Amino acid sequence: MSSTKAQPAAAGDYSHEAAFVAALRQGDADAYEQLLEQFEEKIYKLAFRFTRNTADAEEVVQNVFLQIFRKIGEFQGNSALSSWIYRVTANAALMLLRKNKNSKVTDSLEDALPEYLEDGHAATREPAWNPLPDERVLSQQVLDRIDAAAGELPPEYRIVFVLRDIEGMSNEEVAEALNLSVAAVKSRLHRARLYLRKQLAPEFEKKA
Amino acid sequence: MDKDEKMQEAAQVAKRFKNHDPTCEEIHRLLNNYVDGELDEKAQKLFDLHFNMCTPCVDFLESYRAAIKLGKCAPTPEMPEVVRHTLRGFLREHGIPLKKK
Repeated sequence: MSSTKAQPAAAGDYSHEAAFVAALRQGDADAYEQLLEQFEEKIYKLAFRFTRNTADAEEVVQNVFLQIFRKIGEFQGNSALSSWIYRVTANAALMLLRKNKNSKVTDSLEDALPEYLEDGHAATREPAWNPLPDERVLSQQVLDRIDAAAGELPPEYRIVFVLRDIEGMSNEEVAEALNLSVAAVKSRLHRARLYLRKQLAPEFEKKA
Repeated sequence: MDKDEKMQEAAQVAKRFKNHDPTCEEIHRLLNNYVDGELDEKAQKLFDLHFNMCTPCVDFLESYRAAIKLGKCAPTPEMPEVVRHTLRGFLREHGIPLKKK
């Protein structure tokens, strides 16, 4: 069967994917090969960002493609196929992470904010940070620290951070993908960012 | 969130600061809105004014932005070949039509 690779079309118009989706629904082997070629790397990296380990990422990727196969009939074409796949991936990762309960966070995320006086001023002044080095020359120690901090985020906050700040999805897209309100997305994103800030501060604060 | 919802949220933020300038705590609690450009013009100006006068909050803002930037640098490896291979075997076992190579 000739390639039915989807080509970009006007925003909100996903008709260019219709033939590809139809082929997937029919169980066309070429279409599934194409699906793997187009998405497996992307899904793996997304799954790894969600789970922060290879074994879990592998399990998520397997579950995602299995779900695509089993549920492609439910995909209605109201969004891009990739958006649907993102949604499936995020939810597959969440289910796995909740089952494993791998989150190592013991501090309340509320503690990621400074303490405040009654008049709303911060109770203590937090040190400024040194300017960031070029990201291409971050030391292994710093990368390890970032990796650890990302892994310590509760799954619900980590997934929102990944989808918003790394994948660049909008609040509305993330809300739809995770079946959350936009307000919940914004709250979780802010808490994730605050938590990362607090965890990384010792590495980057200006020393007195 | 449609346009009406965004305007309602912006109005709520603006209403909050109707009778006072934002405190440091309020700035910190709403900082994501400022960084993501989701404040209305009036609230944006109030935040900018606060940053003009409050060096600790400027430091907080810069560290918040830096943390976002650093979070994006978390190492993400390429998909290992063995995972790619295992994936195909797994999918075939579950009846997904793939060509054998």
